[in-house]
Amino acid sequence: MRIGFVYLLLLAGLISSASAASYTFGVDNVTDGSSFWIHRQSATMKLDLSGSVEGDILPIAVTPAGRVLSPFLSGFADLAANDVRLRERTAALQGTYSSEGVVSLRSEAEADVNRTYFKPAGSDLWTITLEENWPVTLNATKTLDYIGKGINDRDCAGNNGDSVGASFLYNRELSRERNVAMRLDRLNATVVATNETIVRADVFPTRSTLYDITSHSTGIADLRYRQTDSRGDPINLGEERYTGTYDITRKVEMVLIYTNETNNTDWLSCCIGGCDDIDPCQLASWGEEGIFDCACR
Amino acid sequence: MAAVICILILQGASAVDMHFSASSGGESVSIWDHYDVDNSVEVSGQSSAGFSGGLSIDDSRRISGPGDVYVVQGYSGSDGYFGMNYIYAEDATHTLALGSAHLTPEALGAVQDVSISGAAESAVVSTGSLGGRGAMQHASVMDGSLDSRQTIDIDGAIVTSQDTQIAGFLPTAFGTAGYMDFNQGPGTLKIRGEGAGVAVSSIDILDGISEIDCNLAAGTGNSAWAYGDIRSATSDAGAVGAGAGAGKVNLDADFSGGIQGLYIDGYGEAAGVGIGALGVENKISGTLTARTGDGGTSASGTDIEASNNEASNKRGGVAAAAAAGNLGIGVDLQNGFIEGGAEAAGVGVGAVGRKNEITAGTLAAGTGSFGTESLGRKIEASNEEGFVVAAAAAGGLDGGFDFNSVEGTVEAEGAIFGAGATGKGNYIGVGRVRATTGNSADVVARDVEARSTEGAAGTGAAAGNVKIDLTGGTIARVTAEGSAVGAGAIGESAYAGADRLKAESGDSTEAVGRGLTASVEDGIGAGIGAIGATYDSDRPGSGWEVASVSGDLIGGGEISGNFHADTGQSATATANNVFAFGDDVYLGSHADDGRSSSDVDTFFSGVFADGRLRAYAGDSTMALQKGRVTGRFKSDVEAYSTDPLDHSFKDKKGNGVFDINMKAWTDDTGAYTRAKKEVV
Repeated sequence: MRIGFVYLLLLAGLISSASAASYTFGVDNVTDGSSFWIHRQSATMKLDLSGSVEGDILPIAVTPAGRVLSPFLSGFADLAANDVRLRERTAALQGTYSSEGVVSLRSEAEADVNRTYFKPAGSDLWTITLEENWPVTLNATKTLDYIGKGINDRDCAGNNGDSVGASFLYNRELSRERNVAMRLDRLNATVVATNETIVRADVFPTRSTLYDITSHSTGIADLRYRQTDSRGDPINLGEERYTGTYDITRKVEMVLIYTNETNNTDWLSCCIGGCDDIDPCQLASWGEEGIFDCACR
Repeated sequence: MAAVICILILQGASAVDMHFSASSGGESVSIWDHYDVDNSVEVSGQSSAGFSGGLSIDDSRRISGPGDVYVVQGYSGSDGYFGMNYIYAEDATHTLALGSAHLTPEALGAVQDVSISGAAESAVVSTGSLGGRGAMQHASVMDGSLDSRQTIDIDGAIVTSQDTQIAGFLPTAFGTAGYMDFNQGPGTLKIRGEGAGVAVSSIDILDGISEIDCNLAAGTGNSAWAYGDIRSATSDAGAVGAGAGAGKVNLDADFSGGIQGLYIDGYGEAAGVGIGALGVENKISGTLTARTGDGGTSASGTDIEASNNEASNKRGGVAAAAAAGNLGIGVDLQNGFIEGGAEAAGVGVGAVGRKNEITAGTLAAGTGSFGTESLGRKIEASNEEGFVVAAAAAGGLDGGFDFNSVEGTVEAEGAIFGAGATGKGNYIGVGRVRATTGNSADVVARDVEARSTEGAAGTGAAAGNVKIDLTGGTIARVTAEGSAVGAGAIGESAYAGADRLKAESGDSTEAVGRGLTASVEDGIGAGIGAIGATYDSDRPGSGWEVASVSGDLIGGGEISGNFHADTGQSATATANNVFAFGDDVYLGSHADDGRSSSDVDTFFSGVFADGRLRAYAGDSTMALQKGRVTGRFKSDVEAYSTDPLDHSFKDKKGNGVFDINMKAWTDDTGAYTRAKKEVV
């Protein structure tokens, strides 16, 4: 039996919390208990990564007695800087697999973060503002071709409240090409409060997100996007599912002056959210069952 | 004050809180604000968190307008410091507060410049803490106005300061610094603490308005200190006061073994300095400091002034003083002994009456391993009517009891200096005075003068000690000794003074009055003298040995000389270079050892010069007088002895110019006298 081994793009732990810069901004109204808090974390850093993979996913014998490991491929990537995120999950069974990818991440967290507050005479209206200038640029391209027993491939790009992504599940044949370009310029927040309550709180990250995908799939193809306003409420939302054999071309571009901070609840709740408790380093424990139980849809 | 503090705590039911923190590389800084202000108040502020070139937050803010203001700003850094600023104004006609702060993970610098006018109550407070130590500044007033610029600096040590001007009812400013560790376990108690503080306050009972202008600072690091520049504290009618103090305590106690195993080892020391005025048109000023440290605890005041004035028949008083002391106790009932000791030293000046004024270039006191000391320089006190006084004293007390041998000892010693005047046109001045305890208790004063235009004036110094031996529960033996010199006058232009006054109690006692003078133009008279005495309960007879030399006059005149008394060789009193004149002058030399006595008594009208008086009481007694008398005189010498029983008496008299030499003495052979006069 020929044993094939596939090495997959792996990105992990890009930002060390020990070296990161962060700040917390909060407003509490003592009268009614209303509050607004925001915590941001970033770092001044640079990441460039490129690679390609081509191979067969096959069983391999690991002992002289002939013990055979089931063939599988798995990998994930988590990139995050100042709420600009890219998450990728891939799990495949026996088959032929090839992939290429390029990632470029630039992040700065050196500029001052400024807070101002003002209450004019004759008014009980407080205006409290926050100004952050910690830019992030994240560009990533990836191509993938697979033929075999089955593959799940999912990704999600999130940028300070906006998100876009695709999930290809239970595909015996999958090819896709994806380009992501995200930029965060700055963040402004404004809280308006009286002595009685917090009247409103707006968070304005100036950001842009471009997501471009071309695919051929034979299983389930889910496409989603979400754009939020300055208070975190979705203002543009889309979700599509294609079951069967499809050729899909999609380009999403979101540019907003007033956007809200990313909700920590990821709408990709399955592998991305639901498998967060799986240690990505424990690859040996990821068997076929685990992978596809995780890819639950 | 308690009311203001309660208000600070109870505010904040309707308010906006803001938080801003930054972190980098495992370090953090944080600032938070609490605002409860009236709509009429304008508030603006900005904060900037910096991440390049080291983590920091810079903050500035402005608060202005009429109405109620309750504002708190807090600071913290990951190295463990905390700081707080409080601004409180109730129904103010106007508040203007300008603040700035610079925070890094290890250091804080904060400034609040606050001006509050027309407030029912107002207060500005700044605090800082680090590693269990803390420092704070407080300024408050009711029904008045307050300007206070307060700072907090934390960078390893903590320093807080305020530059404050307050006018209104009960204006008060104070600063404190220090720490206290209190650990109580099962049957054990451990206390470690030290602190320093400075305060100034004023109260007016007429229109309720009094004023304070001061610059205070307090800090703590390896020690605790407080500083106050009291530029002025005034009240039209009432009281003003300022003080600085410092102290340290160290106590270990173990009760776990019950009363039979009780163990206590404790030590405490404290020092303080204060100025006060009570009456009408009160005003005080001066610079006060107090501190603790490895070298001990001290407090001092410089450029001290206190005064008040008269209004109708009202009288007042002003005073300034510095004092220091320590206390140690050791109880080990398991090993069967108790011991303890205490010592203290102080110096003060005061005036009570009309138009009182006091000044002191320096008043200081300190205590530590070297002992305890108080010091005064350039002290003056005066008033138009009443009394003025300056004094310095030092003393110590030691005792111990051993339950195993059932023996114990209690010892005490002390030294005191004083100068005072009473009547009208009173004045006292002391160039320098110092009182110390250590191996001995002593006091030294230079350039002393006390005078009263119409009244009395006096000065003197004394030292003494006593020792009580205990056997079982009873007193086995008491020994004591003392020496004193002094001068006083009563009448018109009464004067008492000395170039140098000294009193010391150590292995023996000694009192010195160099250039000691008493004079009066007309009146009751003047007196001067020196006395030395010892007592031993085991000694045959009365147990006393007393020697004295003295002089007094009735009417007008003067007496002066170098007076001395000591108990080194039993009791001795001498006076050299004695000069006296007057219509009715008396000079005395007396010695009494409890079993025999010697006396010389001289009365004259005229002048006595180049005189020498001496008295001794020990194994024998002796009294002597020499000098030149110009005028009419009569001198008696008398000696009396009980063992053997003997008596001798002689006298001389004359009118002219004579050198007299009068002596009486006793010894184990009897009583003797000698009387000589030679015409000059």
